[in-house]
Amino acid sequence: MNENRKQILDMLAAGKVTADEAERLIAALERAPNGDAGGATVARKPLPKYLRVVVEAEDNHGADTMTKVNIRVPFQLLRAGVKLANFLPPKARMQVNEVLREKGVDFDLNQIKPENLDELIEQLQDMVIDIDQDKRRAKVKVFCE
Amino acid sequence: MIPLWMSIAVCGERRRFFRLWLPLFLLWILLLPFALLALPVIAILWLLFGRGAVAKPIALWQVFAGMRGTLVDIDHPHGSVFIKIV
Repeated sequence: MNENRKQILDMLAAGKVTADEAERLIAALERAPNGDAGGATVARKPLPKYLRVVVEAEDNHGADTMTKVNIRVPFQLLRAGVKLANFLPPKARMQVNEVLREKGVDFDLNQIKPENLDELIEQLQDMVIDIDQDKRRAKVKVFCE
Repeated sequence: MIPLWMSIAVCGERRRFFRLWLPLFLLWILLLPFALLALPVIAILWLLFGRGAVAKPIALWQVFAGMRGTLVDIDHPHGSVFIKIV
């Protein structure tokens, strides 16, 4: 067992970090070159600032009529929106959940918390959704930058 | 950082073009005296009733401040919409 891993386990035993945090730290150590991380600090990628959605779709009128959508949403705005959503009355949140479920989105609005969103954004860093449909010539790209 | 400029452009089916530049920083300058007046009230509310009493205005402000960098660009054969907040 190397020194860094031992240090993390000691911190876990002392209650300085939670089990989840310790697991993430160990995973970061394993990702680091040579597995020993070289020092106490682990280099982390900067968090993405924007969520981008780019759509290019052919219209029904012909090939030269393309619909283009380019949307860039700052994650700061999403974070603030989540905080604001916490002030929705429980009844309204239940109604939103019901409507989402009717539309086929099984999602609980009560589960979104600002701290969960930060974790989600961290995980979204490497996300790229690329949809390329040949039949109607539609391209959808969702990514973080 | 708060948004300073907002650009809105709308183009209709007959290619009627409408573009608007909104200097939001002028709005902030106008609102500054009111904000200075509101600060002591917010501070007193915070001290008397806790953070919960002022959480909503703070969240609203964070939404406004978080808008910087937003871009919506939709280009359709029958019209287009462009919104940029910088």
